[in-house]
Amino acid sequence: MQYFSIFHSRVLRRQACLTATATLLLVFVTGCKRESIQVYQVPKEKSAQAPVAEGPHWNTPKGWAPQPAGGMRVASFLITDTNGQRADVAVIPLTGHELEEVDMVNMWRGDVSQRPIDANGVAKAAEKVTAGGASGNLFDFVGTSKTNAQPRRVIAAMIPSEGTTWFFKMSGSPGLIEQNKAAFKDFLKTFDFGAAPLQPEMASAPVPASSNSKSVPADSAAPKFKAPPGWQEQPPSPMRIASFLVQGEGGAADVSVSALGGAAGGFLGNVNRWRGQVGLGEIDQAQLTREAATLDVAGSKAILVDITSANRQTNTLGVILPHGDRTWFYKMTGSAAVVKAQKNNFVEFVKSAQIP
Amino acid sequence: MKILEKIVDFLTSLRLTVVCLAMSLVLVFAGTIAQVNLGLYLVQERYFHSLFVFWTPSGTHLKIPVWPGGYLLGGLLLANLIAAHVQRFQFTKKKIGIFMVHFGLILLFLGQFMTDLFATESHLRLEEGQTKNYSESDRKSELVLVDVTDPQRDRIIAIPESRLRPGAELAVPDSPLKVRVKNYFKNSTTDAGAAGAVASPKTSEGFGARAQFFEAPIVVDPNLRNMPSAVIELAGPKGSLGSWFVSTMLSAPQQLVYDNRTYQLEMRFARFYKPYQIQLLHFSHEQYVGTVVPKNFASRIRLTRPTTGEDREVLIYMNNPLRYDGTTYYQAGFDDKKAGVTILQVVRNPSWLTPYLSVTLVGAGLVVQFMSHLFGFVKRRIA
Repeated sequence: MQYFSIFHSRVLRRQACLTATATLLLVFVTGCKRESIQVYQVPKEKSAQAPVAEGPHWNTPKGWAPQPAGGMRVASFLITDTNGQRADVAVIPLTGHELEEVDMVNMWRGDVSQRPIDANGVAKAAEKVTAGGASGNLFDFVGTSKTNAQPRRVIAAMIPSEGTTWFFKMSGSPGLIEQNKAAFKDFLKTFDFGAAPLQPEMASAPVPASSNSKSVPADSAAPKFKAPPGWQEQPPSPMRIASFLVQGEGGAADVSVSALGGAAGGFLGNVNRWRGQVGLGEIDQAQLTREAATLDVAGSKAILVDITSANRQTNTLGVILPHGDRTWFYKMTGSAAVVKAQKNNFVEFVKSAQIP
Repeated sequence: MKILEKIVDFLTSLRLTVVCLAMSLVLVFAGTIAQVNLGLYLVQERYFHSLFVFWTPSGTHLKIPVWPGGYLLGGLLLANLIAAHVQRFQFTKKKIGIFMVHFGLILLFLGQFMTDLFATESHLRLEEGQTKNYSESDRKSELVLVDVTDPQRDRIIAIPESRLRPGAELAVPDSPLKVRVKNYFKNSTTDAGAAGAVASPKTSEGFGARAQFFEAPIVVDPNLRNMPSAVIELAGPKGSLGSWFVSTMLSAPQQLVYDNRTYQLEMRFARFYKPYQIQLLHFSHEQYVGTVVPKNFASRIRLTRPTTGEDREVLIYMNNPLRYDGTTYYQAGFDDKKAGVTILQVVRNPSWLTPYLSVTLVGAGLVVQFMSHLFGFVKRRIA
């Protein structure tokens, strides 16, 4: 049964149709407008007066000519004298890199054509210094330039502070470096890294843990390790993802886990680097294939090498694992007796790792 | 008049309904697949909160529309539903159920559109003892120029992230200043070794003059957050004042003085200010003994509103949010790196009731329609 009809005439209906649609369109057009710039006033925050971000600052020593900071440098200076001697000073902060001190030291030694040294050699060569309230090691090496065989000296310091490692390097003519060594140390002392310019959980910061989850999530990006009994976990450092000290009869060994983006030098390059650290010469690919064992870790293929120093005192076990977009390095180095006794534990440790 | 008739025929046709529904199916399917590469939020923005889905051929900046987006399909379906109703509808007792179902659907469409337009979701992170009068967006950021000259109040000029297109020149309201956008990065990092990191140009002023920052590929994992950054130039009537690197990575603003006024320049996650303050008095986080399974989270807060003299304590815990002034505060999370820090989810949705109303209407309409048929059938059987 028909009670009533809203629109008796077809024309009226048609007009109503169009009006309704036009209204809808209008709503869309007004709704899809771009976000506008807003101006408003708020009372000043009392509880937390935000500090103003200031970059690193320093006192420039006399005779150092500031250069434009380029590339990765935050500060750069040129020192010259009337005899045509030159020296270059650079300050470079690096965040998120897993760098071994021994590798950096050997890089600087390479700069002055010196042979690589091992961790013990690094410890002997290190001189304690402070910069911006943090402490680190200073190294001083003399030799000849790789490029033109001229005498060359490098003084470099590596200072970790709040997740960033700061590199200070002065390199150039030995005489001029000697004259400026005290000024370089003073420069370090007065160097200020700046007032916490970066958020602690920076790039790609995780969103907060949700209380709806069934368990408190661990940092999903962090690998999980199962340390064998007797391994003492060491405090994390900016260089390492995990670090352990293993003590046993006849000495101690150091275990480190680090990761680098990409191929990070490849198998052969890294094995030869480790060989250099214990005073051995380089090997070729064929020899590596004969000497290296393979391991299955987290679904990827890794290689395991066992390197004993020429005097049979030091031993290094190294695992190189290309996994995802990074290459993981596991290394146990120290007293040969301890490393040999712990070899099975080390392999189990590597296999137990859950890498994301 | 013929054209009008054609438009009306098009809008009221059942074919339009079927085509729109079929296209919506494809859109939902494609959007779901695209989440693998784009993540939830970008897919929402590009597929569903848009009039068209665009395709950009690699190596070009062209935007070619390839499929209708959620807004267009939803809008057409809504227009189709309303137009068909107006054109064909006759209010009879027999069709009252159908009327209720359709009205419920219209309400659902409109309600969802209103939610898209007006609802905001943000979070409030508070440490014990800390007081805040704003919550922060999880995804959107803004460039702010804060005039801090007045000792009592700050004047904030907030430029939404969506306006920071490279090459844009934005006039700062009530000021002779202009903001020129040089670069804009959806995600950035300080890590030179990060995959895909591209160095940002050095700036003449502020932090960007001394440190190197990098543009980074966007992250699509919903558990990670992009850290937007920009390189901007400020200009007065006499020319450029210099360029700055601004970033959500920097936890403190950069300062500049212009025309005897002190400004702070900062890129931050967008803030939603409230006319009241919330202070965290205590946060408790209980776990079942011997496990890391959460048992209860509770935030005891103090709510003060100077204009009304309101000052009271509230306990917010799981499934017991605070509803105040059109905003709901849920106990959402905690900081797993720092004790005594609560994270409240702050939701403001003026049309939160519409889905409930529309679903009730549709349900009731279906029952009415079914019953009227059933009664008719039973009556005929008895007769």
